Amino acid sequence: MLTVSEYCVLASIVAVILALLCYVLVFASVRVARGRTALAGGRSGGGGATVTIVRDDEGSAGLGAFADLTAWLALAFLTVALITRTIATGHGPFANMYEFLIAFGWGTLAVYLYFQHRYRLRALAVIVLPIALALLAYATTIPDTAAPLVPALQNNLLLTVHVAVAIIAYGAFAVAFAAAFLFMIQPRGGSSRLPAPELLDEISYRSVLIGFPFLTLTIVLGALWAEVAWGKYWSWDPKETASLVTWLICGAYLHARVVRGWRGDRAAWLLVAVFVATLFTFFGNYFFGGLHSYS
Amino acid sequence: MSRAARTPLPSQPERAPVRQTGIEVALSPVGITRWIWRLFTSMRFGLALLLALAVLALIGTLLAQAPAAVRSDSQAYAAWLDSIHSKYGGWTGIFDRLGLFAIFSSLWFRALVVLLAVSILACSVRWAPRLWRKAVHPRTIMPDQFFDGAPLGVRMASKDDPDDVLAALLPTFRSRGFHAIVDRDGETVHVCADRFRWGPFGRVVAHLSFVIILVGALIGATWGFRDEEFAVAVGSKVPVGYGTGMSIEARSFSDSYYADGAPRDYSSTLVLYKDGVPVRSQVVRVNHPLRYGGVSFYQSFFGPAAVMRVTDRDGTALFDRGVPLLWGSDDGAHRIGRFTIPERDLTVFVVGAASGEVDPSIAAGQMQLEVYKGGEENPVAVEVVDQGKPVQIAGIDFTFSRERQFTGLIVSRDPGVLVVWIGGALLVLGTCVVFFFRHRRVRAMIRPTGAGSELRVAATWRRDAGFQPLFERLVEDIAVAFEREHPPQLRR
Repeated sequence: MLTVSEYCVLASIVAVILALLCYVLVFASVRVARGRTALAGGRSGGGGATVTIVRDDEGSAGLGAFADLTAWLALAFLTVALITRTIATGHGPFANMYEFLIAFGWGTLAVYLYFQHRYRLRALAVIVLPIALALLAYATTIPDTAAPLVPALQNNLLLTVHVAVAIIAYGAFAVAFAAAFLFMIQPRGGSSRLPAPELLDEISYRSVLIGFPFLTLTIVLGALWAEVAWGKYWSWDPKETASLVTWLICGAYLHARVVRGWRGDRAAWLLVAVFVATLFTFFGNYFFGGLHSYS
Repeated sequence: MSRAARTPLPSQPERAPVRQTGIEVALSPVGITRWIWRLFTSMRFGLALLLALAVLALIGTLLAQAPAAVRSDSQAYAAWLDSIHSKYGGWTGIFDRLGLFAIFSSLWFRALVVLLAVSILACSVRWAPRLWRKAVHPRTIMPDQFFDGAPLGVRMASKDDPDDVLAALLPTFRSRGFHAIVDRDGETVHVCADRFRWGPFGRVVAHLSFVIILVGALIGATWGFRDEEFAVAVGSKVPVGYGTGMSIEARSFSDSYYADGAPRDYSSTLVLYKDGVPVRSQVVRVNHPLRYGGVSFYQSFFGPAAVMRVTDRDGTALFDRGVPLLWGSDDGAHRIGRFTIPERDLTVFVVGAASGEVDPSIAAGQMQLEVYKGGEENPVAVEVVDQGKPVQIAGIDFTFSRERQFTGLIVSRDPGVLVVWIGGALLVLGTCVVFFFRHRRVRAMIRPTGAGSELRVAATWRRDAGFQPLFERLVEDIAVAFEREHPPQLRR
């Protein structure tokens, strides 16, 4: 079972690389379609939000659809990898760094594909897929032994839910970051290659709308578990605190969006900070000790 | 009747500009009060507080934080500062003075948390009544200009009179989850239809839940207690203290390991006594605490204990219990425990070799006893005793009977924890309501015309691209409910 899981991860990595190559090609060929799509992607008062620039370009549309398919395939492989690992170990696949990385990669791909499905926005992939790829590639370099659970982790329900919810939140922040990044590199007046800034802003916001409640739930469930396992719902454990930092910046972003002078670039910078804080929370135990040392 | 020449629509209706804070301050009590009110209800101020808290919390993860036990003991704290000096060098003193090594109990952090709580309360007081009015008593009669200028809008004509149109319209709204309020202005019928009109209260709930959590934490800190070093040697019974009238007896302790040496399970069989009566017996392990009468006992640590028996000259037992060797010596070679004999004003330190350490002066099966009288600096006696052989010190007999394990528990009573859980649940609920149940408002106006009536449906939205598809589906439903010969003219 574990071997099946490992092969699925490798297959998924291949699929992500393939998808990324196709997306980059699609992205590079957008220029050809510039003249024709200027109107379609133009001002629509937010209403034409679903219009994408690549839609009219038949040549890259086929390639784009293939890229989407490959990305879905990568997600499917990762799903199988996680399920087979769960069956093999008897607990949610969230007990060591290897498993967390695979799950984080899964969450990033899943949230990306959700937005791709809803908004047909392939440009995001150029940022999101390298993130997913880096997570998965890093996973292959660290030990993937399925160690049995130490006493503190022996709480199957909370282990599964707490981490699964966190993974969705992290994936959402990765997508929010990608949209914010594209938003920021855009020259003033917009670029025909990139999606409209309003749309990118909308995607960022939508991702945070998913990420923020999920992160809140992660922290509350974590507190609930900490009370049972460590005897205290909050101990200012570094990982706990790092997740609080992420939550606070995310909360700041939600307020910044409605404060004059903070919309646009500054809000986008906050999303970059959210993602950096997410990575810091995720990899934190490499820098600091604390109660979460197993993760 | 259709708008042939379309005027440019406002692309994004802007939210009312947030009021600037602290620009002009009138130096009168009223002026200052108003300034403070504006400050605390300003979103910009809240934003600054959130970011400042994030920065402090980040520092808390990056800099070593002194454990609470170390901070309460100035000597231990000085030693702790010394130990981190190599890491932070000359900054150690500066960081210490700024309170950065105990950032979460520092004045900075507490002040920011209090300011944030006050700001949340002020904003709630300011916004909740407005949200209430908006949800329950919305403005029902809108002028034509609203329908002309709304970014989402449609016109339809019907041969029926306004009341028949209304009768067809209301079920359509209802089936799409809209709650409709009908009002009349002469002949004209106005409808204000809301979907998830209570949604915005999720924001108030989410904000207030933050304050509720803080209140819970405060209750816990004020009326609770917490003992992280409650150790009971197997076979002994130790009072819990803190006015609980409880004692814990450890019947057994076991630690087991996987083949690779990783811990598998720590478990203690405990008997809980309340006022001397056994009330509960339970196996306590990590993730399975014992709870009774608001007090919780968590498996936390374990170690060796020395069972000591101290008797009077006439054989009366002064002490007969396992002494947990709780502390390690600085060099790691020894384990140290402590007990007192109040009748004789004696404090006894029991020192044994740490496991795996070979100490020629304290061999296996031996303990070293250091006996102090009152507050004296120098011990009355320092003796190495053999297992089972009584030794006379200060006129009484000390016997080290055997070595056993002790189980270390965290004992705590936190009366605020329920409040924290309520706050946590409301926080999750509030954020989910805000984000997944967005309030959407659609207005309709039905006006009689010579040939029947005219229906106009319109909506505004703020940064809510998901609204348009919903509006379009609603309009399609309305169109289906009307005669087909009057196709709606949909306008973006």
